[in-house]
Amino acid sequence: MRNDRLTALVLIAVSIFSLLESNRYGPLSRLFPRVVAVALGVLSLVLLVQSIVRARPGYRQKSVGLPSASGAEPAETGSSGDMRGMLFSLLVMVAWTLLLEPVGFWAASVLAFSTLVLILRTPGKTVVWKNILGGAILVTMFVLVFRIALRVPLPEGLLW
Amino acid sequence: MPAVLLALLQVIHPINLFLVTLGVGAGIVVGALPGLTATMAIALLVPFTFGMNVVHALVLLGGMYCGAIYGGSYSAILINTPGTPAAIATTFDGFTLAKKGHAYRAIVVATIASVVGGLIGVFFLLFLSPPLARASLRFGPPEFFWLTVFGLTIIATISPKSTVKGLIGGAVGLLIGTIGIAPIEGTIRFSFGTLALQNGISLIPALIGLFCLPEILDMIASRNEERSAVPYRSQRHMLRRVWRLMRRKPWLLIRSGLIGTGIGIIPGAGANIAGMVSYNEAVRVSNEPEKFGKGNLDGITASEASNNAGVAGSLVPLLTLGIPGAPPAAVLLGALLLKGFRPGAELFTVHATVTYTFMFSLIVANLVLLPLGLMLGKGASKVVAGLPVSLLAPLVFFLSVIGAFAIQNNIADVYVMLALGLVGYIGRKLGFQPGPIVLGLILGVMCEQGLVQSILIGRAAGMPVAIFFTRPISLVLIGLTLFSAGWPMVSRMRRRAAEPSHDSDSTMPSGGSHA
Repeated sequence: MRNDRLTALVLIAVSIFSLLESNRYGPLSRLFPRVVAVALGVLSLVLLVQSIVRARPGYRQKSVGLPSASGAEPAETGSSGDMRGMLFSLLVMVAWTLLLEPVGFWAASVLAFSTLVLILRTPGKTVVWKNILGGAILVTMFVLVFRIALRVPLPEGLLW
Repeated sequence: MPAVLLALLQVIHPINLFLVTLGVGAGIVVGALPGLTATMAIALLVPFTFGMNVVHALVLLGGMYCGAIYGGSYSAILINTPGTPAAIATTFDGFTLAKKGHAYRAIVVATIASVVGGLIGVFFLLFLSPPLARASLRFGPPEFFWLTVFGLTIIATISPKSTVKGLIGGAVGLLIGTIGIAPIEGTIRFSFGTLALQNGISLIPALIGLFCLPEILDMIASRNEERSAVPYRSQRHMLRRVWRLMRRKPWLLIRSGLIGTGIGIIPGAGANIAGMVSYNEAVRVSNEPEKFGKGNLDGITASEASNNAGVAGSLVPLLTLGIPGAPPAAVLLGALLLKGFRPGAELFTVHATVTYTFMFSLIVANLVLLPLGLMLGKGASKVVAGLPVSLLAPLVFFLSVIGAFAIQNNIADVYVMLALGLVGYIGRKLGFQPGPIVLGLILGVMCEQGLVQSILIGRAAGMPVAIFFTRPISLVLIGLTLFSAGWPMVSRMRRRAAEPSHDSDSTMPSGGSHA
């Protein structure tokens, strides 16, 4: 499978990079990363060979192994569902984590939470305001418990 | 035995019963929240126990320890994110069941398994502490090295779709584990000049990211407002039904409890590994290994019985030698020292009443777990089922952020969580599961320390290689490793030999009898 080939090549590159990088460390510090990097490289090579062999026509008849392992490609591979909504949500999540420090944990969380509720709503079905309000109350509750009861210094930023 | 009698009387005192229940309840809630571990729960509670007398404090903290390890199973089952690292193996079958609408059934199994496992652990703590603790001290660097190698063989079991991808995941986990300060020389590795990477990748943010974020993203991509992401199906007499199934396989429960206690006793190993090893054994022994990972009750039983047995196990070396068997036990040690109690013989002679009260309170804690766990579990599964994805996804992400941050009050951990979450998501699409990566991350540090320290000791003794192969416990562990690594091949051959006479007569997944 093409994805596997690409993954294997990337991982081989990671393994070579780790080997080169570990040359800069002392003998005791480089031993373990080197062993692991070599193992990763060898395993990735196996994956590469496997994916090339499996891509040949007529492979499936020859496949052996556990019933669940017999040449089955992972079921998760296919992309399905609302990819656009997922990507938008992911962007909001990235912005959420980046805003925690400058804007403040509470404010960033309420803002991002509400945005996500809006993105993920089903028009006509979801009672948006109720969910936004519910989310804001939950976030506030957790932030208060962490700040006051558990004394976790959540970033305060501009807006708390 | 007046001390034991006095302890028995103390433990059934209403205040102590109340404190155990409070500890277990609070522990379950904290353990169920991703990122808030048992260690953190106990560490946060210790300051509140300053003013209490020692018995009350220990009873409360012990209850919390049991509750938190058990509570980790809720989020493992309901949102595919282990609430504590100990519950990683619970996600394999628990979440699959939850998606089919059997979340409560999975929680009932986890609860019964936790109670039985916990009681097995306390039995050993009560009756066999001193000899077990002495045996655990025989674990030196070479033994730790082999223990981790044995642990890595579990990868073959937890990645049935592709062993190569599982092993690659494990290697990536080990490599991620090398980021930061090297164990002996103190060299900073793979940090690329970034301050955030100098201390290495913390386990909990990595765990949350790898397990939780892919689940949230998938939940969003495949959302359907008509149907809950984790539906709740109510069934009558669940406890009785599940217990009827579980008591058919006493061996599974006992074996998992024993594995949990054994690994809990070994200082440094702890419940995190216990659940995985026990799961591995359950799969290996089962007649139908292919059913694991697809919502098999035995998988949940093995993981949960074992991690709760590990609670009492980790207290064995703590109370007898002052060496904590797991991180939460280390915090308990701090609480004991604060109260002026030194672990060791004194605890069993001068302070015997206190010690036995604490041990008995763990029995009570495990018994309280049953009603309290079932009640809270039912509530939690109903709440999660009732939340639409538009509320559940942001809520789970918020909990992930706050959990990742609170572990070290460090914003960099939140970034690590997010980055590894993306790695986990892409990996999942390519057929790499988070289990092996996290296993590599957990075992990496211990493995490297064992390897390097053994080489140093070996060099000093003039046998740098032989030290790995000459010590008796090492040899046992090597044997176990070879057996565990070779087993999938043996089982495949046996399966092929047995294929013509295809007779499947049991309706329930097996796992009780020894092969």
